[in-house]
Amino acid sequence: MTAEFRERLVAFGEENRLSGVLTSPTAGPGSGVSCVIHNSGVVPRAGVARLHVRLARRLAARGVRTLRFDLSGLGDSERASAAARGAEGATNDLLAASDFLRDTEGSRGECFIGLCSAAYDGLAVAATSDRAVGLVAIDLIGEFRTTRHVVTHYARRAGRIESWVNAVTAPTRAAKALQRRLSVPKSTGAPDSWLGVRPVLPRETMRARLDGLLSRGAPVLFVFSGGLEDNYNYEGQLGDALPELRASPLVEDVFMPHARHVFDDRQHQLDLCTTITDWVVRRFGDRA
Amino acid sequence: MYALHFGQSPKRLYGAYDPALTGPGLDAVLVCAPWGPEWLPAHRTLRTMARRLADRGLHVMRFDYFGSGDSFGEETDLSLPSMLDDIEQGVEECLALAGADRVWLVGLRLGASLAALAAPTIPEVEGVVLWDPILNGASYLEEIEARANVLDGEVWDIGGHLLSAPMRDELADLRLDSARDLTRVKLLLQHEGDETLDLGPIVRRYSGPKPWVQEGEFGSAPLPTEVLDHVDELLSR
Repeated sequence: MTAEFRERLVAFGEENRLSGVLTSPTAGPGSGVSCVIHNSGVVPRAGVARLHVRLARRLAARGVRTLRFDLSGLGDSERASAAARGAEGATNDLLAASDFLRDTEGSRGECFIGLCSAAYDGLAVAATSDRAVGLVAIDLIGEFRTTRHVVTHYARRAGRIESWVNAVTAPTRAAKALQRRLSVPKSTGAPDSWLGVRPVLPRETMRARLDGLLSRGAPVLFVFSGGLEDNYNYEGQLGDALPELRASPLVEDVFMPHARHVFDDRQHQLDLCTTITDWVVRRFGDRA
Repeated sequence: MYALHFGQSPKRLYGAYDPALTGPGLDAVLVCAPWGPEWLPAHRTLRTMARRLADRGLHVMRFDYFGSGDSFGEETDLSLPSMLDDIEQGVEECLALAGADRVWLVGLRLGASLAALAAPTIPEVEGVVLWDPILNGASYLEEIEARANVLDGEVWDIGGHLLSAPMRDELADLRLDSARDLTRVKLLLQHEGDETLDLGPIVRRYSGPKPWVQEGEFGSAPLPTEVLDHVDELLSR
């Protein structure tokens, strides 16, 4: 059987510190839109249970090139010499990925695909860079809370016996949580684990960043799992939280209530890959 | 660090090579990673170990088994014989890159068990470091079965990692405690309280974090610096 993709290891960015895998269709393309996938949290670029490997290969089988890479200091990429780390460092690295794809592959624009912190990074870059032609944000953590979200949340909690137990122990747990938040993180020999942390996106920031992207005509796919109930817990919550998105033909949202946050279940992983691949091909197939 | 693909197509493997940063670099080290759900949390520890050893004058290569990590193939392609072949291929590649004649194998969990089994068949192996090897495959299967979601009555899904029925059979037969030849094992690192092999003074117990155990959904495991010190000490002599 002939492979439906080819893969090449690449190094790019400042002093070629960034390490990535370029997955392309066997027969091309020489130009068009490329997808970019980077680390969720501190998970290496292969993704949880190789989610990113699978997604990149599926996209290539459908004619779309993908660069998946490690941010500075994560996976197999070296730490950047500059001070920028965390979200700011991620922005620089994503722009470097974009430049690399333009310069070496003739890519005419990038669609950023990211889960959790990577969705945060993708949105930050997509809001301001003209190179960004699309965004797939999976479990973006932001202020999506609505009245229905709160009602749903408490209705579900009321149905669980552990909630009643928690109610009794809450003061102790709250004190411990506060203590954890205030204490300096224990050093474990390297600060890498903090590279993947991003803040919760305030609604107005989210609105402004999406506006930057949508005003350029770039489409966005939101995917939400049921794994972060505090963040998102019902179909259509996005439209209730940000009503202006409802009418936009550029915005689509999918809720996968049974999937966990990191999609560490094969069937949900496959469903996610299918959802994203279909969307990318539908949106960029003619340009990919 | 240089990333490379090696091995014959279509069985191409991903390698990450850290050349020695000091000294003449006479020795090479091949790192044999854990399998499946233990691979991801351990990645940072193994990368850190590779860099520390390179800093101390060793040429170090990490690699992903066929069907895992950044290598080609699907997880259902994995089997213990195939992983043993990959170790052999890795040794060949590592020696060629390093221009060395001898290689150390450092393995973690299933990677350690396989390194121990591969060593007697590879003449260039100078010594082996076992880090919490899986001693008894049947017990290991019992341990992970609790987390397995059975697909099609055949394949186990363990946190998104597939374990085929043939590989389960191979794991069930894995017994390091009855392995005939462990003479090349020079260091056995075993977490305190866990069962170990009776290999005398080369056994070192350690406490603290287990690097293959994930902290939360997105966290890698903390670095077990005490263990890395033991490995440095042995291999930098």
